[in-house]
Amino acid sequence: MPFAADVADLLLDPWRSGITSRALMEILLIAFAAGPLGCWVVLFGLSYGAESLTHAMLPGLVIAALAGFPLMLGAALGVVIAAPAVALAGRLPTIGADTAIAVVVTSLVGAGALLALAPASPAGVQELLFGDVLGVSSGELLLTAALVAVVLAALRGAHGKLLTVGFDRANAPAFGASPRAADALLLLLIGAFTIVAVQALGTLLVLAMLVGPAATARLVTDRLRGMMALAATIAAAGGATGLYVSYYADTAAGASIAAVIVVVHIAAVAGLRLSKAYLKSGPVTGLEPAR
Amino acid sequence: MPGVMKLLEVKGVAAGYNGTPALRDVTFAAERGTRIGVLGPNGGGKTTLFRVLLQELRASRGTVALDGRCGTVPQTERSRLDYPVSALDVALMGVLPRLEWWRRPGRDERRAALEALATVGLADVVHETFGELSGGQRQRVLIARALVQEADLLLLDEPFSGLDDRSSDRLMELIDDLAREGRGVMVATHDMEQTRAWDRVLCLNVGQVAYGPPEIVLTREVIETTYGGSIVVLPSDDQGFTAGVLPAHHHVHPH
Repeated sequence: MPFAADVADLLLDPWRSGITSRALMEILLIAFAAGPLGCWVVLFGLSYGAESLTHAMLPGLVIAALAGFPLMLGAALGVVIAAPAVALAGRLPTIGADTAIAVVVTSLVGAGALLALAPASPAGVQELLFGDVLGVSSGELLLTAALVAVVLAALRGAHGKLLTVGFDRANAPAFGASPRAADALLLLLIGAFTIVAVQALGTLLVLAMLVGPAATARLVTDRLRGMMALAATIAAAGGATGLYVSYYADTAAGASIAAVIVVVHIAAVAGLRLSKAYLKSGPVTGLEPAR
Repeated sequence: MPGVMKLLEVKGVAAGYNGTPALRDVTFAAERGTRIGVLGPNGGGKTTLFRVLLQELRASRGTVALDGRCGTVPQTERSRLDYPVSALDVALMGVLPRLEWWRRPGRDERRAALEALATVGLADVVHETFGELSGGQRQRVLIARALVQEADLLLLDEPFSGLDDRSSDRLMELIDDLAREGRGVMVATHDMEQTRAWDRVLCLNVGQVAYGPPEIVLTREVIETTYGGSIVVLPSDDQGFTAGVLPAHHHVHPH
Protein backbone atom coordinates (compact mmCIF):
# COMPACT_ATOMS: atom_id res chain seq x y z
CA MET A 1 0.00 0.00 0.00
CA PRO A 2 2.18 2.83 -1.24
CA PHE A 3 -0.31 5.55 -0.20
CA ALA A 4 -0.48 4.33 3.43
CA ALA A 5 3.31 4.06 3.47
CA ASP A 6 3.59 7.61 2.14
CA VAL A 7 1.27 8.93 4.84
CA ALA A 8 3.17 7.01 7.52
CA ASP A 9 6.42 8.46 6.23
CA LEU A 10 4.92 11.93 6.21
CA LEU A 11 3.81 11.55 9.83
CA LEU A 12 6.87 9.77 11.18
CA ASP A 13 9.68 11.46 9.25
CA PRO A 14 9.95 14.46 11.56
CA TRP A 15 10.55 12.29 14.62
CA ARG A 16 13.26 10.02 13.27
CA SER A 17 16.12 12.06 14.69
CA GLY A 18 16.88 12.31 18.39
CA ILE A 19 16.66 16.10 18.26
CA THR A 20 13.10 16.22 16.94
CA SER A 21 11.80 13.30 19.01
CA ARG A 22 13.14 15.00 22.16
CA ALA A 23 11.44 18.21 21.03
CA LEU A 24 8.13 16.35 20.65
CA MET A 25 8.49 14.75 24.09
CA GLU A 26 9.30 18.14 25.62
CA ILE A 27 6.26 19.78 24.01
CA LEU A 28 3.93 16.95 25.08
CA LEU A 29 5.17 17.12 28.68
CA ILE A 30 4.68 20.90 28.73
CA ALA A 31 1.19 20.44 27.27
CA PHE A 32 0.14 18.05 30.07
CA ALA A 33 1.00 20.73 32.65
CA ALA A 34 -0.26 23.65 30.55
CA GLY A 35 -3.79 22.20 30.25
CA PRO A 36 -4.80 22.08 33.92
CA LEU A 37 -2.61 24.99 35.08
CA GLY A 38 -3.85 27.18 32.22
CA CYS A 39 -7.45 26.50 33.26
CA TRP A 40 -6.77 27.88 36.72
CA VAL A 41 -4.93 30.88 35.23
CA VAL A 42 -7.98 31.64 33.06
CA LEU A 43 -10.53 31.05 35.83
CA PHE A 44 -8.60 33.16 38.36
CA GLY A 45 -8.09 35.96 35.82
CA LEU A 46 -4.31 35.65 36.13
CA SER A 47 -3.44 35.80 32.43
CA TYR A 48 -1.98 39.30 32.70
CA GLY A 49 0.02 38.39 35.81
CA ALA A 50 1.34 35.26 34.09
CA GLU A 51 2.29 37.23 31.00
CA SER A 52 4.08 39.79 33.16
CA LEU A 53 6.00 37.07 34.94
CA THR A 54 7.12 35.33 31.75
CA HIS A 55 8.26 38.56 30.10
CA ALA A 56 9.93 39.95 33.20
CA MET A 57 12.20 36.93 33.59
CA LEU A 58 14.29 37.97 30.55
CA PRO A 59 17.20 39.45 32.60
CA GLY A 60 17.65 36.14 34.42
CA LEU A 61 17.80 34.27 31.12
CA VAL A 62 20.28 36.72 29.63
CA ILE A 63 22.53 36.50 32.70
CA ALA A 64 22.47 32.69 32.45
CA ALA A 65 23.24 32.83 28.72
CA LEU A 66 26.16 35.23 29.31
CA ALA A 67 27.54 33.13 32.14
CA GLY A 68 27.13 29.87 30.24
CA PHE A 69 24.65 28.35 32.73
CA PRO A 70 21.71 26.17 31.64
CA LEU A 71 18.69 28.22 30.53
CA MET A 72 16.48 26.58 33.18
CA LEU A 73 18.74 28.00 35.87
CA GLY A 74 18.48 31.41 34.24
CA ALA A 75 14.70 31.05 34.09
CA ALA A 76 14.65 30.21 37.80
CA LEU A 77 16.79 33.28 38.50
CA GLY A 78 14.45 35.36 36.33
CA VAL A 79 11.41 34.15 38.26
CA VAL A 80 13.13 34.91 41.58
CA ILE A 81 13.71 38.49 40.39
CA ALA A 82 10.41 39.00 38.58
CA ALA A 83 7.88 37.35 40.92
CA PRO A 84 8.51 39.56 43.99
CA ALA A 85 8.85 42.65 41.76
CA VAL A 86 5.51 41.97 40.05
CA ALA A 87 3.83 41.03 43.34
CA LEU A 88 5.12 44.13 45.16
CA ALA A 89 4.28 46.45 42.27
CA GLY A 90 0.73 45.13 42.35
CA ARG A 91 0.38 46.37 45.92
CA LEU A 92 1.54 49.94 45.29
CA PRO A 93 -1.39 52.11 46.33
CA THR A 94 -0.56 55.20 44.26
CA ILE A 95 -0.70 54.30 40.56
CA GLY A 96 -2.83 51.15 40.38
CA ALA A 97 -1.74 47.54 40.05
CA ASP A 98 -1.81 47.19 36.26
CA THR A 99 0.20 50.37 35.65
CA ALA A 100 2.76 49.44 38.31
CA ILE A 101 3.16 45.93 36.88
CA ALA A 102 3.51 47.33 33.35
CA VAL A 103 6.30 49.64 34.54
CA VAL A 104 8.13 46.78 36.29
CA VAL A 105 7.78 44.43 33.32
CA THR A 106 8.95 47.04 30.80
CA SER A 107 11.92 47.89 33.01
CA LEU A 108 12.96 44.25 33.35
CA VAL A 109 12.49 43.47 29.64
CA GLY A 110 14.49 46.61 28.84
CA ALA A 111 17.26 45.58 31.23
CA GLY A 112 17.32 42.13 29.66
CA ALA A 113 17.50 43.56 26.14
CA LEU A 114 20.27 45.96 27.19
CA LEU A 115 22.34 43.07 28.50
CA ALA A 116 21.59 40.84 25.52
CA LEU A 117 22.36 43.45 22.87
CA ALA A 118 25.58 44.74 24.47
CA PRO A 119 28.53 44.43 22.05
CA ALA A 120 30.31 42.02 24.41
CA SER A 121 27.33 39.64 24.58
CA PRO A 122 27.25 36.55 22.36
CA ALA A 123 24.47 36.30 19.78
CA GLY A 124 21.39 34.32 20.75
CA VAL A 125 18.83 36.71 22.22
CA GLN A 126 16.31 35.32 19.75
CA GLU A 127 16.47 31.94 21.47
CA LEU A 128 15.57 33.58 24.76
CA LEU A 129 12.63 35.45 23.30
CA PHE A 130 11.23 32.72 21.07
CA GLY A 131 12.70 29.50 22.48
CA ASP A 132 14.64 26.66 20.91
CA VAL A 133 12.74 23.45 21.41
CA LEU A 134 15.10 21.57 19.08
CA GLY A 135 17.98 22.32 21.45
CA VAL A 136 16.50 20.39 24.39
CA SER A 137 18.90 17.84 25.86
CA SER A 138 18.01 14.51 27.48
CA GLY A 139 18.87 15.92 30.91
CA GLU A 140 16.58 18.90 30.39
CA LEU A 141 13.85 16.52 29.28
CA LEU A 142 14.14 14.63 32.56
CA LEU A 143 14.05 17.86 34.54
CA THR A 144 10.96 18.93 32.58
CA ALA A 145 9.26 15.61 33.42
CA ALA A 146 10.06 16.06 37.12
CA LEU A 147 8.76 19.66 37.27
CA VAL A 148 5.63 18.77 35.31
CA ALA A 149 4.97 15.96 37.81
CA VAL A 150 5.37 18.43 40.69
CA VAL A 151 2.99 20.95 39.06
CA LEU A 152 0.34 18.28 38.40
CA ALA A 153 0.64 16.79 41.90
CA ALA A 154 0.29 20.22 43.51
CA LEU A 155 -2.76 21.03 41.36
CA ARG A 156 -4.36 17.70 42.21
CA GLY A 157 -3.78 18.17 45.94
CA ALA A 158 -5.04 21.75 46.00
CA HIS A 159 -7.95 21.16 43.59
CA GLY A 160 -10.74 21.57 46.15
CA LYS A 161 -9.26 24.71 47.70
CA LEU A 162 -8.63 26.35 44.33
CA LEU A 163 -12.17 25.48 43.24
CA THR A 164 -13.62 27.01 46.41
CA VAL A 165 -11.58 30.22 46.20
CA GLY A 166 -12.39 30.72 42.53
CA PHE A 167 -16.10 30.15 43.19
CA ASP A 168 -16.50 32.72 45.97
CA ARG A 169 -13.33 34.44 47.20
CA ALA A 170 -14.99 36.34 50.03
CA ASN A 171 -16.50 33.28 51.68
CA ALA A 172 -13.81 30.71 50.83
CA PRO A 173 -12.09 31.04 54.27
CA ALA A 174 -15.26 29.67 55.90
CA PHE A 175 -14.54 26.45 53.99
CA GLY A 176 -10.88 26.27 54.96
CA ALA A 177 -9.61 27.77 51.68
CA SER A 178 -7.39 30.86 51.83
CA PRO A 179 -7.51 33.14 48.77
CA ARG A 180 -3.98 34.38 49.45
CA ALA A 181 -2.58 30.86 49.69
CA ALA A 182 -4.39 29.92 46.47
CA ASP A 183 -2.97 32.96 44.64
CA ALA A 184 0.53 32.28 45.97
CA LEU A 185 0.37 28.62 44.96
CA LEU A 186 -0.76 29.48 41.44
CA LEU A 187 1.97 32.12 41.07
CA LEU A 188 4.53 29.56 42.25
CA LEU A 189 3.27 26.96 39.79
CA ILE A 190 3.19 29.47 36.92
CA GLY A 191 6.83 30.22 37.84
CA ALA A 192 7.73 26.51 37.81
CA PHE A 193 5.91 26.00 34.51
CA THR A 194 7.65 28.97 32.94
CA ILE A 195 11.08 27.70 34.06
CA VAL A 196 10.30 24.48 32.22
CA ALA A 197 8.63 25.88 29.14
CA VAL A 198 10.85 28.86 28.42
CA GLN A 199 13.57 26.65 26.88
CA ALA A 200 11.12 25.43 24.27
CA LEU A 201 8.96 28.48 23.69
CA GLY A 202 10.89 31.52 24.91
CA THR A 203 9.65 34.33 27.15
CA LEU A 204 7.37 35.79 24.48
CA LEU A 205 5.58 32.61 23.40
CA VAL A 206 5.34 30.56 26.58
CA LEU A 207 2.02 32.17 27.47
CA ALA A 208 0.41 30.96 24.23
CA MET A 209 0.74 27.38 25.47
CA LEU A 210 -0.51 28.24 28.97
CA VAL A 211 -3.51 30.45 28.22
CA GLY A 212 -4.51 29.68 24.61
CA PRO A 213 -5.68 26.05 24.99
CA ALA A 214 -7.43 26.78 28.32
CA ALA A 215 -9.25 29.78 26.84
CA THR A 216 -10.39 27.62 23.91
CA ALA A 217 -11.55 24.80 26.20
CA ARG A 218 -13.47 27.33 28.33
CA LEU A 219 -15.50 28.25 25.26
CA VAL A 220 -16.79 24.75 24.64
CA THR A 221 -17.33 23.16 28.06
CA ASP A 222 -18.78 24.19 31.41
CA ARG A 223 -17.20 21.33 33.38
CA LEU A 224 -13.80 21.85 34.93
CA ARG A 225 -12.51 18.32 34.44
CA GLY A 226 -13.57 18.36 30.80
CA MET A 227 -12.04 21.79 30.40
CA MET A 228 -8.69 20.61 31.78
CA ALA A 229 -8.61 17.45 29.65
CA LEU A 230 -9.58 19.40 26.54
CA ALA A 231 -7.01 22.14 27.24
CA ALA A 232 -4.24 19.53 27.63
CA THR A 233 -5.38 17.83 24.42
CA ILE A 234 -5.44 21.09 22.46
CA ALA A 235 -2.01 22.01 23.85
CA ALA A 236 -0.55 18.62 22.92
CA ALA A 237 -2.17 18.52 19.49
CA GLY A 238 -1.26 22.15 18.84
CA GLY A 239 2.33 21.46 19.94
CA ALA A 240 2.70 18.41 17.70
CA THR A 241 1.03 20.16 14.75
CA GLY A 242 3.27 23.18 15.25
CA LEU A 243 6.33 20.94 15.09
CA TYR A 244 5.04 19.37 11.85
CA VAL A 245 4.52 22.84 10.38
CA SER A 246 7.99 23.83 11.52
CA TYR A 247 9.53 20.70 9.95
CA TYR A 248 7.77 20.87 6.59
CA ALA A 249 7.50 24.65 6.14
CA ASP A 250 10.88 25.34 7.73
CA THR A 251 9.46 27.84 10.19
CA ALA A 252 10.53 28.59 13.77
CA ALA A 253 9.20 25.82 16.05
CA GLY A 254 7.98 27.95 19.00
CA ALA A 255 6.26 30.48 16.74
CA SER A 256 4.62 27.69 14.70
CA ILE A 257 3.21 26.10 17.84
CA ALA A 258 1.87 29.45 19.10
CA ALA A 259 0.34 30.13 15.67
CA VAL A 260 -1.46 26.76 15.59
CA ILE A 261 -2.88 27.34 19.10
CA VAL A 262 -4.13 30.80 18.11
CA VAL A 263 -5.69 29.44 14.88
CA VAL A 264 -7.49 26.73 16.89
CA HIS A 265 -8.85 29.38 19.26
CA ILE A 266 -10.08 31.61 16.43
CA ALA A 267 -11.68 28.59 14.73
CA ALA A 268 -13.45 27.67 17.99
CA VAL A 269 -14.80 31.20 18.45
CA ALA A 270 -15.98 31.33 14.82
CA GLY A 271 -17.47 27.82 14.97
CA LEU A 272 -19.41 28.60 18.13
CA ARG A 273 -20.77 31.83 16.73
CA LEU A 274 -21.88 30.15 13.54
CA SER A 275 -23.52 27.28 15.40
CA LYS A 276 -25.33 29.72 17.72
CA ALA A 277 -26.56 31.72 14.76
CA TYR A 278 -27.69 28.50 13.07
CA LEU A 279 -29.56 27.29 16.15
CA LYS A 280 -31.23 30.68 16.51
CA SER A 281 -32.37 31.31 12.99
CA GLY A 282 -31.90 28.15 10.95
CA PRO A 283 -29.20 27.85 8.25
CA VAL A 284 -26.96 30.91 7.94
CA THR A 285 -27.63 32.60 4.64
CA GLY A 286 -25.85 35.88 5.08
CA LEU A 287 -23.13 37.35 7.20
CA GLU A 288 -25.34 38.54 10.00
CA PRO A 289 -23.38 39.02 13.19
CA ALA A 290 -24.07 36.39 15.84
CA ARG A 291 -25.21 37.63 19.22
CA MET B 1 -33.11 24.88 81.75
CA PRO B 2 -30.15 25.56 84.00
CA GLY B 3 -27.15 23.33 83.42
CA VAL B 4 -28.11 22.51 79.84
CA MET B 5 -25.62 23.81 77.29
CA LYS B 6 -27.30 26.10 74.84
CA LEU B 7 -26.43 25.92 71.15
CA LEU B 8 -25.23 29.49 71.14
CA GLU B 9 -24.46 32.05 73.83
CA VAL B 10 -23.25 35.50 72.82
CA LYS B 11 -22.30 37.86 75.66
CA GLY B 12 -21.42 41.54 75.29
CA VAL B 13 -19.84 41.11 71.86
CA ALA B 14 -18.34 44.09 70.06
CA ALA B 15 -16.42 44.06 66.78
CA GLY B 16 -15.27 46.46 64.10
CA TYR B 17 -12.92 47.14 61.21
CA ASN B 18 -9.70 49.14 61.61
CA GLY B 19 -10.87 50.63 64.89
CA THR B 20 -14.30 51.64 63.57
CA PRO B 21 -17.03 49.87 65.58
CA ALA B 22 -19.52 47.92 63.46
CA LEU B 23 -21.17 45.99 66.27
CA ARG B 24 -21.45 46.48 70.04
CA ASP B 25 -23.21 45.16 73.15
CA VAL B 26 -24.69 42.10 71.50
CA THR B 27 -26.01 39.55 74.00
CA PHE B 28 -28.35 36.70 73.20
CA ALA B 29 -28.65 32.95 73.51
CA ALA B 30 -30.39 30.26 71.47
CA GLU B 31 -31.37 26.64 71.95
CA ARG B 32 -31.12 24.01 69.25
CA GLY B 33 -33.95 24.15 66.77
CA THR B 34 -34.39 27.91 67.11
CA ARG B 35 -35.12 30.05 64.05
CA ILE B 36 -33.79 33.58 64.52
CA GLY B 37 -34.52 36.47 62.19
CA VAL B 38 -31.81 39.13 62.23
CA LEU B 39 -33.16 42.55 61.29
CA GLY B 40 -31.27 45.74 60.73
CA PRO B 41 -30.39 48.38 58.16
CA ASN B 42 -27.44 48.04 55.77
CA GLY B 43 -24.35 48.64 57.88
CA GLY B 44 -26.33 47.66 60.98
CA GLY B 45 -23.92 44.85 61.88
CA LYS B 46 -25.72 41.74 60.57
CA THR B 47 -22.82 40.57 58.41
CA THR B 48 -20.29 41.57 61.07
CA LEU B 49 -22.12 39.43 63.63
CA PHE B 50 -22.09 36.49 61.20
CA ARG B 51 -18.37 36.94 60.60
CA VAL B 52 -17.74 36.89 64.35
CA LEU B 53 -19.81 33.71 64.73
CA LEU B 54 -17.83 32.13 61.87
CA GLN B 55 -14.59 33.18 63.62
CA GLU B 56 -13.51 35.11 60.53
CA LEU B 57 -13.45 38.28 62.60
CA ARG B 58 -12.28 38.51 66.20
CA ALA B 59 -14.64 40.11 68.68
CA SER B 60 -12.91 43.08 70.31
CA ARG B 61 -15.03 42.50 73.42
CA GLY B 62 -17.29 39.81 74.79
CA THR B 63 -17.52 36.06 74.29
CA VAL B 64 -19.17 33.62 71.89
CA ALA B 65 -19.86 30.05 73.02
CA LEU B 66 -21.10 27.69 70.31
CA ASP B 67 -21.82 24.05 71.03
CA GLY B 68 -21.17 22.66 67.57
CA ARG B 69 -20.21 23.78 64.09
CA CYS B 70 -21.25 26.97 62.37
CA GLY B 71 -22.00 26.94 58.63
CA THR B 72 -22.43 29.92 56.33
CA VAL B 73 -24.89 30.36 53.50
CA PRO B 74 -23.70 33.52 51.74
CA GLN B 75 -25.66 35.56 49.26
CA THR B 76 -25.73 33.75 45.93
CA GLU B 77 -24.71 36.97 44.15
CA ARG B 78 -21.26 36.57 45.67
CA SER B 79 -20.60 33.31 43.87
CA ARG B 80 -19.52 33.28 40.25
CA LEU B 81 -22.24 32.15 37.89
CA ASP B 82 -19.83 31.70 34.97
CA TYR B 83 -17.81 29.15 36.94
CA PRO B 84 -17.58 25.58 35.62
CA VAL B 85 -19.00 23.75 38.66
CA SER B 86 -22.02 21.52 39.17
CA ALA B 87 -24.40 21.64 42.16
CA LEU B 88 -22.58 18.53 43.47
CA ASP B 89 -19.17 20.23 43.17
CA VAL B 90 -20.44 23.15 45.25
CA ALA B 91 -21.99 20.90 47.91
CA LEU B 92 -18.69 18.98 48.10
CA MET B 93 -16.88 22.19 49.07
CA GLY B 94 -18.49 21.65 52.48
CA VAL B 95 -16.21 18.67 53.24
CA LEU B 96 -12.99 20.63 52.67
CA PRO B 97 -12.53 21.95 56.23
CA ARG B 98 -12.31 18.43 57.61
CA LEU B 99 -10.14 16.87 54.89
CA GLU B 100 -6.35 17.01 54.92
CA TRP B 101 -5.28 19.42 52.18
CA TRP B 102 -3.88 16.72 49.91
CA ARG B 103 -6.92 14.42 50.20
CA ARG B 104 -9.73 14.55 47.70
CA PRO B 105 -13.36 13.85 48.56
CA GLY B 106 -14.02 10.09 48.46
CA ARG B 107 -17.14 7.96 48.18
CA ASP B 108 -18.37 8.82 51.70
CA GLU B 109 -18.05 12.54 51.09
CA ARG B 110 -19.87 12.27 47.77
CA ARG B 111 -22.67 10.35 49.45
CA ALA B 112 -22.95 13.03 52.15
CA ALA B 113 -23.12 15.74 49.47
CA LEU B 114 -25.78 13.85 47.49
CA GLU B 115 -27.83 13.34 50.66
CA ALA B 116 -27.59 17.03 51.51
CA LEU B 117 -28.75 17.97 48.00
CA ALA B 118 -31.66 15.52 48.37
CA THR B 119 -32.54 17.10 51.74
CA VAL B 120 -32.90 20.51 50.11
CA GLY B 121 -34.97 19.00 47.28
CA LEU B 122 -32.35 19.09 44.54
CA ALA B 123 -31.70 15.37 43.98
CA ASP B 124 -32.61 15.73 40.30
CA VAL B 125 -30.22 18.58 39.44
CA VAL B 126 -26.99 17.45 41.14
CA HIS B 127 -25.07 17.45 37.87
CA GLU B 128 -26.50 20.73 36.55
CA THR B 129 -24.15 23.70 36.25
CA PHE B 130 -24.55 25.95 39.31
CA GLY B 131 -24.87 29.13 37.25
CA GLU B 132 -27.72 27.68 35.21
CA LEU B 133 -29.93 26.90 38.21
CA SER B 134 -32.68 29.29 39.32
CA GLY B 135 -32.00 31.74 42.16
CA GLY B 136 -33.95 29.61 44.64
CA GLN B 137 -32.14 26.45 43.57
CA ARG B 138 -28.75 28.15 43.91
CA GLN B 139 -29.68 29.27 47.42
CA ARG B 140 -30.59 25.70 48.31
CA VAL B 141 -27.31 24.37 46.88
CA LEU B 142 -25.46 26.72 49.25
CA ILE B 143 -27.63 25.45 52.14
CA ALA B 144 -26.72 21.88 51.11
CA ARG B 145 -23.05 22.89 51.25
CA ALA B 146 -23.54 24.10 54.84
CA LEU B 147 -25.30 20.82 55.68
CA VAL B 148 -22.31 18.90 54.30
CA GLN B 149 -20.21 20.94 56.73
CA GLU B 150 -22.34 19.26 59.44
CA ALA B 151 -23.27 22.69 60.69
CA ASP B 152 -25.34 22.87 63.89
CA LEU B 153 -25.93 26.57 63.39
CA LEU B 154 -26.68 27.86 59.89
CA LEU B 155 -26.17 31.53 59.04
CA LEU B 156 -28.21 32.64 56.03
CA ASP B 157 -27.30 36.07 54.67
CA GLU B 158 -30.35 37.64 53.00
CA PRO B 159 -31.38 34.38 51.33
CA PHE B 160 -34.72 35.69 50.08
CA SER B 161 -33.38 38.54 47.99
CA GLY B 162 -34.25 38.04 44.35
CA LEU B 163 -36.48 34.99 44.93
CA ASP B 164 -40.00 34.73 43.56
CA ASP B 165 -42.90 33.87 45.92
CA ARG B 166 -42.80 30.15 45.19
CA SER B 167 -39.05 29.89 45.83
CA SER B 168 -39.44 31.98 49.00
CA ASP B 169 -42.16 29.64 50.28
CA ARG B 170 -39.99 26.60 49.62
CA LEU B 171 -37.09 28.24 51.42
CA MET B 172 -39.31 29.06 54.41
CA GLU B 173 -40.36 25.39 54.54
CA LEU B 174 -36.73 24.28 54.33
CA ILE B 175 -35.78 26.59 57.21
CA ASP B 176 -38.59 25.04 59.29
CA ASP B 177 -37.36 21.52 58.40
CA LEU B 178 -33.78 22.34 59.36
CA ALA B 179 -34.93 23.70 62.72
CA ARG B 180 -37.04 20.59 63.32
CA GLU B 181 -33.86 18.53 62.81
CA GLY B 182 -32.42 20.41 65.77
CA ARG B 183 -30.26 22.93 63.93
CA GLY B 184 -30.19 26.59 64.81
CA VAL B 185 -30.94 28.85 61.86
CA MET B 186 -30.12 32.57 61.82
CA VAL B 187 -31.48 34.51 58.85
CA ALA B 188 -30.35 38.05 58.07
CA THR B 189 -33.24 39.73 56.29
CA HIS B 190 -34.90 43.06 55.57
CA ASP B 191 -38.39 41.59 55.62
CA MET B 192 -39.79 41.92 59.11
CA GLU B 193 -43.06 40.24 58.20
CA GLN B 194 -41.12 37.07 57.45
CA THR B 195 -39.53 37.08 60.89
CA ARG B 196 -42.96 36.92 62.56
CA ALA B 197 -43.08 33.24 61.60
CA TRP B 198 -39.88 32.43 63.46
CA ASP B 199 -38.99 31.85 67.13
CA ARG B 200 -36.78 34.85 67.86
CA VAL B 201 -35.93 38.20 66.33
CA LEU B 202 -32.63 40.00 66.84
CA CYS B 203 -32.72 43.71 65.96
CA LEU B 204 -29.36 45.34 65.28
CA ASN B 205 -28.37 48.89 64.52
CA VAL B 206 -24.66 48.62 65.36
CA GLY B 207 -25.84 48.15 68.94
CA GLN B 208 -28.40 45.51 69.86
CA VAL B 209 -31.87 47.05 69.92
CA ALA B 210 -33.86 44.02 71.02
CA TYR B 211 -33.93 40.23 71.12
CA GLY B 212 -36.86 37.97 71.86
CA PRO B 213 -40.02 36.41 70.44
CA PRO B 214 -41.33 38.40 67.47
CA GLU B 215 -44.70 39.13 69.07
CA ILE B 216 -42.89 40.95 71.89
CA VAL B 217 -39.94 42.42 70.00
CA LEU B 218 -41.58 43.78 66.87
CA THR B 219 -43.05 46.94 68.28
CA ARG B 220 -43.18 50.23 66.49
CA GLU B 221 -40.60 51.72 68.86
CA VAL B 222 -38.09 48.87 68.36
CA ILE B 223 -38.43 48.98 64.59
CA GLU B 224 -38.01 52.75 64.51
CA THR B 225 -34.87 52.47 66.64
CA THR B 226 -33.56 49.62 64.52
CA TYR B 227 -33.95 51.39 61.24
CA GLY B 228 -33.42 54.92 62.53
CA GLY B 229 -36.49 56.22 60.75
CA SER B 230 -40.21 56.62 61.14
CA ILE B 231 -42.85 54.02 60.39
CA VAL B 232 -45.60 54.03 57.87
CA VAL B 233 -48.45 51.82 59.07
CA LEU B 234 -50.01 49.80 56.29
CA PRO B 235 -53.31 47.87 56.36
CA SER B 236 -52.70 44.79 58.49
CA ASP B 237 -54.14 41.44 59.46
CA ASP B 238 -55.40 40.55 62.96
CA GLN B 239 -51.96 39.79 64.36
CA GLY B 240 -50.76 43.35 64.58
CA PHE B 241 -49.62 46.21 62.46
CA THR B 242 -47.85 45.88 59.18
CA ALA B 243 -45.08 48.36 59.00
CA GLY B 244 -42.98 49.96 56.33
CA VAL B 245 -40.03 51.97 57.53
CA LEU B 246 -38.98 55.30 56.11
CA PRO B 247 -35.30 56.05 56.44
CA ALA B 248 -34.29 58.84 58.85
CA HIS B 249 -33.57 61.32 56.05
CA HIS B 250 -36.90 60.77 54.30
CA HIS B 251 -39.23 63.76 53.98
CA VAL B 252 -42.83 63.49 53.00
CA HIS B 253 -43.57 65.85 50.16
CA PRO B 254 -47.04 67.31 49.84
CA HIS B 255 -48.75 66.53 46.54
